Amino acid sequence: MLTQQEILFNELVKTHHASIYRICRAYLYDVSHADDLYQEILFQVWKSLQNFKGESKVGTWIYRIAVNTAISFNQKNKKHQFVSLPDFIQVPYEETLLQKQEQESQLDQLRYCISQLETSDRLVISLVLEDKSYKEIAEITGTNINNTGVKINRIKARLVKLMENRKGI
Amino acid sequence: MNFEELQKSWQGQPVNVIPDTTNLKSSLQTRWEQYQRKLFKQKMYGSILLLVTLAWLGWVYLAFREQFRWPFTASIAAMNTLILVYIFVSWKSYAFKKENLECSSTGYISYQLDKLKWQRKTVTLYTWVYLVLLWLSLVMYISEVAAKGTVLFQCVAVLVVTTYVLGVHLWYRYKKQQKVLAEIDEMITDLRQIRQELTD
Repeated sequence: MLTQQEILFNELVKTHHASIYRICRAYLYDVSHADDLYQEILFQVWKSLQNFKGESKVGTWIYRIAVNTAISFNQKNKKHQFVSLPDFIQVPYEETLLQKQEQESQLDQLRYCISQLETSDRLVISLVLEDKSYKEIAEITGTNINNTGVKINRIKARLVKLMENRKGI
Repeated sequence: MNFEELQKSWQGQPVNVIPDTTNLKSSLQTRWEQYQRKLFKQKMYGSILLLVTLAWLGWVYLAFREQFRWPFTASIAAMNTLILVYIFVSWKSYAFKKENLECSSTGYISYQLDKLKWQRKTVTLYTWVYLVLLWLSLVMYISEVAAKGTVLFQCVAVLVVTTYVLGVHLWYRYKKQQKVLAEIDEMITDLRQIRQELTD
């Protein structure tokens, strides 16, 4: 028989696993490190569930845990910081790939460009990419909503610019 | 190229994780239990060691208290108090270990910064206080125990204790403290920077 905690955990994982995983991929470029972070977030969610008092929305609560775990994970694993690869490795296949591979290539470019952002900007943009509203992002990060709006617009513009520059290479 | 295209592409990426909660739960539960067991063992071994020392000091006191005056009792009481405080603080951190992950990020970072500042203070200031108190207790103990010896013997005994405590302190300061402080300072700088960037 499942406990209340297990039922809630199942629901949370089913609903949010993809978003959490994408946040990990936005925060850490290397897929194996992102996988480790994903496991760590689920572990922290599992640990924190017994203290969940429903003071904030479940969505906000889980994203806060995800973002805060990512901050701590980076602190503990400095070596996981992304090291930029040479350009010839970053942009290898554009002329020869089929559509599906082109999509993967574009995604990889996007991941690379996100990895070029500041640590806090990576966290914010990962939430924007998940379609979170300014209000939700402000609640998750604990910042002023107006500042968050300005910041998001700045990061979006920088990301688009980085992507355009990559296309130009 | 616009941001919406990027967002669409991002959300369409394959997610290589399967939400199989049955296996996931049991592995997380196992990991949680291992984590608790490891922490418990560490605290337990440390406490047993200290309790043995406490018992030994108690035996020394009971066996020799008739032969010595109040400094003997005071020094043993001081050493026992230091040990008990250490055990208490150690178990307190086990029982009330809070991580505050459900706070907002700026709140979480502030909490982590407070913890790091506390750690820094422990490393720099409280270790000093602990060592000075320990040194005082030992000097009081040695002076009383060696009171019937010659002045030279007393001086040598105090010198040996002082050299030992100073040696431990210097070793800690130059071998460990610098490294620990560098790590703490680096973390403080990083966290401050992230908080600053988030709130700017």
